[in-house]
Amino acid sequence: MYNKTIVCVYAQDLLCSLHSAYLATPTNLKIHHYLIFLRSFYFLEHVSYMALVGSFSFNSFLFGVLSCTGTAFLAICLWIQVNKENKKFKDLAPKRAFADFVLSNLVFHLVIMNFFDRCPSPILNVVFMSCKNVV
Amino acid sequence: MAMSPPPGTSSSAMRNAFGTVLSALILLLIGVLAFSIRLFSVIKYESVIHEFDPYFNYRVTQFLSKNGIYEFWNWFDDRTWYPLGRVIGGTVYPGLTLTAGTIWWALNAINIPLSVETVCVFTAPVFSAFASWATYLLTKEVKGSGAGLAAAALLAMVPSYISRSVAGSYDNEAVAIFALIFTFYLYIKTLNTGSLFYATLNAIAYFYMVCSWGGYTFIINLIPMHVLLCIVTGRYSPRLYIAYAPLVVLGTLLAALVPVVGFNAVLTSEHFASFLVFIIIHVVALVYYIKGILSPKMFKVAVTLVVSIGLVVCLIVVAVLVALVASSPTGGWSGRSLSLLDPTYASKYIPIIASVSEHQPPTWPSYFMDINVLAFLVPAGIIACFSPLSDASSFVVLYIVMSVYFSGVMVRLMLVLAPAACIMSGIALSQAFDVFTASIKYQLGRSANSKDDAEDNTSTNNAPKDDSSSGKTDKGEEVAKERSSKKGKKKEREPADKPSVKSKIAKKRVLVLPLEASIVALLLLIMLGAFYVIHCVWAAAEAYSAPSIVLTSQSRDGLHVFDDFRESYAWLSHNTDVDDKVASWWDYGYQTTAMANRTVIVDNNTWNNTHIATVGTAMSSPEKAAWEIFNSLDVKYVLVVFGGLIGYPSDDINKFLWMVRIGGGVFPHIKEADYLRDGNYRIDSEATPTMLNCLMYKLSYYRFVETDGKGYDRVRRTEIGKKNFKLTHFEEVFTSHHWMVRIYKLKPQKNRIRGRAKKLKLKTSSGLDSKAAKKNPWI
Repeated sequence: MYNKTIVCVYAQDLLCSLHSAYLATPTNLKIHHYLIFLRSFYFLEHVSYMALVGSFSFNSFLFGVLSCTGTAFLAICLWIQVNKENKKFKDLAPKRAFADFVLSNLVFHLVIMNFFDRCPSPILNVVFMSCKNVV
Repeated sequence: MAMSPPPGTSSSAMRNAFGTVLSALILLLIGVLAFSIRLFSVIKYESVIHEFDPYFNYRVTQFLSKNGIYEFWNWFDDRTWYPLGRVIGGTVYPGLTLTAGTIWWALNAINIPLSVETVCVFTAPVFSAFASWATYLLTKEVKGSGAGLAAAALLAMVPSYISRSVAGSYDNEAVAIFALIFTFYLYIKTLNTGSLFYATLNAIAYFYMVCSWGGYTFIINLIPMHVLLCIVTGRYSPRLYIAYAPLVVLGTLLAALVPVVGFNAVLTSEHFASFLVFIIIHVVALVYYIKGILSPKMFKVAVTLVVSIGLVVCLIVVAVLVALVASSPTGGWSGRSLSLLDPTYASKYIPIIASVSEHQPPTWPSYFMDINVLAFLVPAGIIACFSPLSDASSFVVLYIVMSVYFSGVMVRLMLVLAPAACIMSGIALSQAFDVFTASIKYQLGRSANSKDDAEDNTSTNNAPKDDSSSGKTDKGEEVAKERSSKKGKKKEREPADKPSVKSKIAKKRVLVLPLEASIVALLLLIMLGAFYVIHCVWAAAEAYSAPSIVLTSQSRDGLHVFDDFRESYAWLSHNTDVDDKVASWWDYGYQTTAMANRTVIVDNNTWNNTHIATVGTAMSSPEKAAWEIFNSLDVKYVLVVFGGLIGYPSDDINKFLWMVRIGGGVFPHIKEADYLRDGNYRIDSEATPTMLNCLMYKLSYYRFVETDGKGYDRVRRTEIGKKNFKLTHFEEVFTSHHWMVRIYKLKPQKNRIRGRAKKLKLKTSSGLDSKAAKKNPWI
């Protein structure tokens, strides 16, 4: 019991210091963190949905899962490159980093659009199918 | 000539410019060399597609050029694997055909009317030039441009790569090796620069590799292994994350887009390594991030907490994963990959994979034949990579270790070893030349300076030495082997003009060799290179240029040309109906569909083991049973390759053991022991009666005794056992000029049978036969 209390105290200390350190990060980076968190949440939701209902349309499962992870990691990459404390990337202009980010996102979405199976609304369905054929 | 101090920035800029132009010129020459060394087959024979597999690719490219890409994606081929057919769009790696189709279309669009065949024949040499340029880029990232040029020159000529990319060898590896090296180059570039742009390019290059060859699993397993190695040796950095994470996600997505791979990209064990390392790298990144924002004491607390909770979670996840993997009989691996990991797997369970000669382990001499001198230089290159060890050089070391292992399992994978060996040898050669030329220049410079220099040897003139060596390392590495001595003479005037500086700089023991030893070593290295070049040219000309559809032999009367294959395919296409089905062993399927344009039963794709076993059983059965089997498959013609008259060793009698084994694997009434006498397959008078009665024997040796009166088989070197016999269910319709290809037609069923024969049959047959006789009115 003695050990347990010490662990609890340590855990609290840890959380406090994490919290304080986190507050110190500049606001623009916090946006990244929020987006990444959001995407991880959606990823978990998608996986649990598939586990519950079964993977009928594996295409759409793949699409959902991988789009979440993909945009999440790309945001992480941008975050790495923009973070001012990161010594190795001092000479990389933030504009260049953002341009790279946009380009890779473009390629990523071009690719992932091919996994569309079907769409609830028939009009949107036609739009997506024609986009797929173009790509 | 001499620049007075301050050391001219203009002089180094001029030197840089000169070096760049020189290296560009050398690269161009290397490209021309790579292209032209592969043209021996066109010069010695003709511009024709070689072997078996390229004929399939050629046929697919023809279809693509005629019908367009949408028809290609949806193509269902009903002229092979009769009556099953084959979904070409979903089972072919489209990279090669799309590349050649694009080149053909582009050339025709600018009004250069090359035929599809010409484009197909010359695709491989063009892409090998590209591959050597990619090797230059890759090695430049690892060690500098001097090593790059050396590696590119070596790759242009290495025999193992030539063997699969001569003009006419229109196979997947021709473009796949270029894609492999280019993907590795982009990965290393991303690792060195940390730019997301190169990471995206890397994923696209990986996509091209997946399109081209099944060997892409090598990439998707090697790169995670390297990432793991970097993490374990403490070389984690954000650049590693940027290099790896986009590749996995984008790469897997792109791989899933290729129809051949489809969902295998996420479901099979070949890709699990990449996902596992993906998770690991995220964990490591998180750990480093938290370490960065916490104080060290708090971090220790965090570690203990997380480790205790995380271990439990990990165990649960691992248990789930193990259950999933164990539920599939092969643990999720495909047959071919399993046979790579466990070399004895194929021979035990999948005789088809074991029967392909390219899948056998290589012999020791084949290493020397295929990579020659590089076998000595590779260990030197590995050592050179360790000083200093960077991310890129650790990757190259891992690459060569893995490829050496896999090339030891399968001879076909010597091809993957070739680029790694060239890179390593290029590094080794470049470092060696570095040391020797530096020694020569230092020694010459010292002897020119000896009158100014009052000090002794050990307090070296570090300033001129350093200056010349640093200047030289820019230039000397870019210099090809034969020019090093000239440059040495040009530079030695510079140290002489510079003022002799006392060694105020800390005494460095510079690694310098005596002058004579360096010169002799340089000459020896140049001779080594010369031996390599001679061997490569010989291998390209003599060993690897045979198209194997046309054979030649030298004799006293001159050159004999054996063009039997094309003769018989032409006969087939002119003398049979379009819808006639031809049965042969699977080796000749692609050629028959491409050149003779007839439907075949089995071909080189070997995707259906039972179908091949059916044909094998038919070939090993007596005439009547074989006729029944072939008739049930609607076969009209049977094609047999026979080399006994001229001594051609790859004929069907030599492949007969595989027919028996594969057929016996599916149909238990074919027992291999029935065909063996003392453990050997024999066709002479000692052969077993089953062997003498089987279809393959009869179709090969029918009327053979008429050629020389004794029936002497030049391949097996004996006289045949049964010499005079008649065929009851088949009739011979064609035998080529040198008896290499023999075509037989199935005789149609008799309309009625004479009464006496019918009664005799009913009396002497067993119960089963009489039942069959009652049911079947034709007998």
